Amino acid sequence: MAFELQDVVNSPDLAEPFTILRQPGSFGAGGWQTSQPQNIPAFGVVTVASHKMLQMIPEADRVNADRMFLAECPMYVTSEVNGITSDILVWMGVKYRVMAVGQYQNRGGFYYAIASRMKGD
Amino acid sequence: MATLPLVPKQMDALLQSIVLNMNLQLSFDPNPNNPDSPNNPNYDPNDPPPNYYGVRCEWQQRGQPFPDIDEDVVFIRAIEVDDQYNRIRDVSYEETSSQFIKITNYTRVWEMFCGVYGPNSFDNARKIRSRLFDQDIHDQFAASQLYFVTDPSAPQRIPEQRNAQWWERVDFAARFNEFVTEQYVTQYAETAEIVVYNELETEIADIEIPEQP
Repeated sequence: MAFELQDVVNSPDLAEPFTILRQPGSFGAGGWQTSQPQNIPAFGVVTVASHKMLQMIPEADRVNADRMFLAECPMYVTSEVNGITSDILVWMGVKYRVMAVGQYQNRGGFYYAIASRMKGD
Repeated sequence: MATLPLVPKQMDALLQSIVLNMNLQLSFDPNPNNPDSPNNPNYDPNDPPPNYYGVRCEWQQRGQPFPDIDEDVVFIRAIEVDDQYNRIRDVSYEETSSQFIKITNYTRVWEMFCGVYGPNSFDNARKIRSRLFDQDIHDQFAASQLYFVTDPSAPQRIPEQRNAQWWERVDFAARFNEFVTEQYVTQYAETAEIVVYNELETEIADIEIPEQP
């Protein structure tokens, strides 16, 4: 049987608070109409998926970075069924948009998300 | 009026200053340490400095920061493009008291490219296109021997997918003819001499052709 890693994900020595901005909305005149985001406090392990990386284009330098978030509460990518666009995760005041999610049901039922830094510079 | 042929750095500075005169909706530098920021204590709204934060030149040697997604910024660059019109050259000569000068005139074709970013990018691109037809903008270009080719294609909206979002972007390009004057000090023959020898290498004629008036 696989080890349950919930205790690791919730460990106060490793985990830290972050906020999930859930982005509900619906189709309407002019396109997707976003509603007021829901602020969901979360607690989990935040780690680097890819460090800040410079991309030079003729206009200017773009900086890309990704982080991995592991937490007990679910995080979502865009879903028509749920009527949401991808969650935005706010950690240390910086916004990251969820690009990939997964669930480790066999290890205690925690979720992971890979999220991209939204600021361009 | 003859001016020196433009180089890309001059074109960048020229385009930047003229685009800044097009009354676009541009973002301002929020950093109070920079003189063109309205948050700078020395900023005078009645005599504001040029908003270089809002109109930026591309291809900076060591890069430059990118604006935020909600900022209106125009990126400009200029490249020379090939055109049938730049094949034709007019060559003339001018003599001064001490020099003989070869003067070559021709038309060089530049393409100005604007990458317009931000929530107002579509409208800003429309304004850039329309303002090129105005007399005051024409005169600013003409001072540098640049003349707008009056058939620009429509601005093209092409939002960019970066940093997990779509960034509003509109591209616009316009061509300009530059009247180029190149001057070189050159040499010319004042006289020509024809010497005729026979088979015994004896000179039989020596004719000097003087300079034609």
